[in-house]
Amino acid sequence: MSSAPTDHPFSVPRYPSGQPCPEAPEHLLVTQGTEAALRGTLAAQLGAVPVSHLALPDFPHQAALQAALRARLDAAPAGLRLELHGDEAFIWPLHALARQAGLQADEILLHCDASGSRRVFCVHCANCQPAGASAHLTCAHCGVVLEVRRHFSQRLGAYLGVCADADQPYQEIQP
Amino acid sequence: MSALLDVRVAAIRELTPVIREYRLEALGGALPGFSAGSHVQLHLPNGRRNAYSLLGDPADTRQYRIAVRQQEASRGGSRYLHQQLRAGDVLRLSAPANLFPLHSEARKHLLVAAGIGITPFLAHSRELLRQGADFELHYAYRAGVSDAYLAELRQLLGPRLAEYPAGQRRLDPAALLRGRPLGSHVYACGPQSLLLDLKEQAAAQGWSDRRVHWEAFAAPEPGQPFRVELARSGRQLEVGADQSLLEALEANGVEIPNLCRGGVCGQCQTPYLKGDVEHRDHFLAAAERSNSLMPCVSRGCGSPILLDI
Repeated sequence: MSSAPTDHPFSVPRYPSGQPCPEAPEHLLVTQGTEAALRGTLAAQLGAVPVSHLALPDFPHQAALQAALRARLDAAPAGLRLELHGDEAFIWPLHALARQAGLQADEILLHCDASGSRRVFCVHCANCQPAGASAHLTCAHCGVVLEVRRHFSQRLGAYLGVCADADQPYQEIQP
Repeated sequence: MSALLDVRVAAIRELTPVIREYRLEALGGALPGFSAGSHVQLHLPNGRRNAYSLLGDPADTRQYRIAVRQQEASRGGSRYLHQQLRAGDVLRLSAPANLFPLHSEARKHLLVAAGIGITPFLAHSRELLRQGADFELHYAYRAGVSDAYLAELRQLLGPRLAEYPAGQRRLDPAALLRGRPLGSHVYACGPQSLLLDLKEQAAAQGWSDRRVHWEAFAAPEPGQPFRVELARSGRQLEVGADQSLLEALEANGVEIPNLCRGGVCGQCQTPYLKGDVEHRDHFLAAAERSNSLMPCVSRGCGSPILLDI
């Protein structure tokens, strides 16, 4: 990797993460929204490559979408490319599922809606929780006020949350 | 540099008219363990150091086994092993290093060997059998010439072995890769043409480079003699026609970290300040070649090279 600007820490993901692959035998698109037009745009871009689409609104819940994706990947040939569209809280659990199914990281293309939800891992109680874009967050599990660091775990799909003020971990009122 | 090992040649076995197996035992105690896919460098009395894959079972640390094909254009390494080395002789080895390991995420391993490229896969096959992993071995050979270990592999692998005898069945990389499950990885060892063909076909089927692992027959090609100067000490060296720059440096007491000695691993990358270089490596990016070379294979081809060491 060459000239990465210093204001973008190494672990923080970049979006979009790459380009669609016209050599792939098939392309699988998974979206958090309906994104009806997206499939057509992608199909036009990829020419003869078959494109299929799983959209969260077509499923009763996230778990059903994940089960459908898992089933598709279990039957897929090596060379298939996966494209994920949504916020970080949506795309990273699917990313982990796809890596588990045997996809390489560079075979997964990520498009992220940065205004949406992301996940934070609390180092004090080791739980993950959803969060917004704010740099501070009170841990829903242990109550410590966390500073959300610009340090990301692809395995957990979450940013690191560390006690913001060690002298006042629960933001006690100053006497 | 890691410590060198002294070993005794315990046995030499002719596998085919051009391939011999050498069994090496420690002079005292056990040999260091190794992972499947590892190689050792043999330090030969004539100054050559060649890398050979360890083909034994990684679980067996009493002995190392290597197999060597006599190369027609030998610079003295394989010729020495075939013609002069005797059982009972003592050799010096570098400790094992692995540039060709199994990928921990692979669900299915496709092993592709041509000729003497079979050697790392003997160790891999034992390891994969032990793991109960899903794998296949595709072996292209010339019957009676480059078909070492064929009988042993047939017995060991049964239907996991696919054979491609020259003149009877062609190994088609495109067909070999098509429609494989998502967790597939391919590993190849053989001549450059096979490796390039396989890499091209994998890319054409949408496979990420990260699924494709290969090991070339790493040996420097001879060339014209040339001169180098070491910028920091002012020393001047002559590199002979059938000697590599790395060997010339070593002969003069200059040790450069190295692993493959064939221009693929990047370990011996060395900066230079000026001179005409014929690079010959498969590692450096075009931009790096203006100020770096790989002394294991790169040669001078004009004005003397000034190395920044």
